[in-house]
Amino acid sequence: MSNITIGQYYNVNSIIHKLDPRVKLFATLIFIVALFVANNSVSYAIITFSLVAVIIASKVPFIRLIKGMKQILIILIISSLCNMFFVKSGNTLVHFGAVNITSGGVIKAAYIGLRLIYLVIGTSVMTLTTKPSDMADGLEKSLGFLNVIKIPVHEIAMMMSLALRFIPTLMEETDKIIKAQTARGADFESGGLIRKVKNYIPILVPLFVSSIERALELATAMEARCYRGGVRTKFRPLKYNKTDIIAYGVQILFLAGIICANLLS
Amino acid sequence: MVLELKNIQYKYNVGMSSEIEAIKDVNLVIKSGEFVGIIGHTGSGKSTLIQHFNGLLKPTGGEVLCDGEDIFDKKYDIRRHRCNVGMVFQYPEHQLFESSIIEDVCFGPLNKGLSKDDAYKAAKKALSLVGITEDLYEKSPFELSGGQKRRVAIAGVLAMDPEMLILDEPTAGLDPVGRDAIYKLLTELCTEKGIAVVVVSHSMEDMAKYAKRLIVMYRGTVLFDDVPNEVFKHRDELEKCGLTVPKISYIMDKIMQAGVPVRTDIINMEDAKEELIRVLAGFKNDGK
Repeated sequence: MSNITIGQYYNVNSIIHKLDPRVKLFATLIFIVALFVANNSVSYAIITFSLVAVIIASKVPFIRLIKGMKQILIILIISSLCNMFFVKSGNTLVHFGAVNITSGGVIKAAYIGLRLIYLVIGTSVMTLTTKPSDMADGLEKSLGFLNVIKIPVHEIAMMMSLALRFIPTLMEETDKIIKAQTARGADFESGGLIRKVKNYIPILVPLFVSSIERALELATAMEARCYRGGVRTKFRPLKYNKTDIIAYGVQILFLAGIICANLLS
Repeated sequence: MVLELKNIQYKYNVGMSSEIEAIKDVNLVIKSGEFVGIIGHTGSGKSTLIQHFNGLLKPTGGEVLCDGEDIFDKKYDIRRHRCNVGMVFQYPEHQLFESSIIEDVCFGPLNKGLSKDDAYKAAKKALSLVGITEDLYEKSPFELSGGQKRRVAIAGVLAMDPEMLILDEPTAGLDPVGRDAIYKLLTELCTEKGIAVVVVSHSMEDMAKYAKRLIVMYRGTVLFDDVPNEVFKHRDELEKCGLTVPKISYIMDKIMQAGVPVRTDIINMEDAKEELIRVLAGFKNDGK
């Protein structure tokens, strides 16, 4: 229950933690773009180097980042295998009936695997070093221009931060309900697929009921404190400082490096 | 049934920076027919401790024995043990899920392996024990009042016919009538059926009134384990752990300080009444 890495802030004091959330959001965006345009070993080397540097600077233990990997393991294996079997370029390495593995396919598979792993690690670094509330603030501010075309950015950011806020609460609740039903002799392991799905009804129904009740209570509590959405001033407005500007500079350099590496190959 | 905890130790988040030792070396024996109260400050390990009784938590050290058998042994049928040791969590009404009350109460007995008819009979019996009348059986549990929901949830555990019943703050959020009804039921189960009852509570008055044995938890250890009368004599130590003694003890104290020679080791209303009558009668005789 507690091995979901995304959304779990890791509380230490580091340069990365102190950066403005907008900088980190932009960096994550650039990182993802770089991952998808990278097409040779030099650009992957740059990405690897930068990612490792950021992880070290963030002081987040490497184990925490690896934990998030378990959930994507299956996707990782399937997409790598697909690339290995279906990409046909370069020399043939193995030929066995209909199966034809080529060197190009193997390289492509390795890149795809790496890309997925980096994607998860990169975004985990973001969530591990940024408090959910800061992230919502950053998103709200960064996407503020969408207000012009009547998109309720503040409300969406609020919903997002509420959703993140309630992940641990719901996990606790789930844990409690599982225990309560186990104490009543419920069995979650045995039986076929349909039986197994049915076994989870005693958990899902109470969970839905309490979530809805909780949401109603929260809405009332927010209204009682005169929440109306829309334009609100901030207790701590986001402000850029020197490190943030430097961080933007580093990001531009990083992207330029990737583009150069791609063009040169 | 004899449940024995031997050198139990439990740590949360083992191997992480947030590792906490919630239970340190606890030894307890609980037998059929006992009415045990557990008190302790928030975070003293009460809730963690009781989850070991039916094997919901596996101790990181020590063992839990039921009639001499280790319940975490691979050969031991732990699901059967869980049906024998009924556990009512805090706010048990949050676990209701079926579309009708009777079906919800049947959930436990059916899991125990009873036939539909037997489960229905067990459910009916349990519901009548907690005072839910037959006209409510087909209603949705979500239509009931808070107190009724609580009683239905307790019936859901009683229907499994446990030999031991563990309740985590069963009266939290209930009105005085509901509270007394639940304690009356528990006392009956204990004395008439010989079920061992273990109650975690924050109410010293309730514990003084109903518990026959009181366990005080402090920072993951058992500080006191004795009859309530003896436990409440350690007033200073209890206050140091963030607990109190029943209010009536403080009142008796004041009365004594005012110059009336009453006993101050009294912990419930009935004894206080008798003591005051005794002392007042003494005054009358002196006056003559």
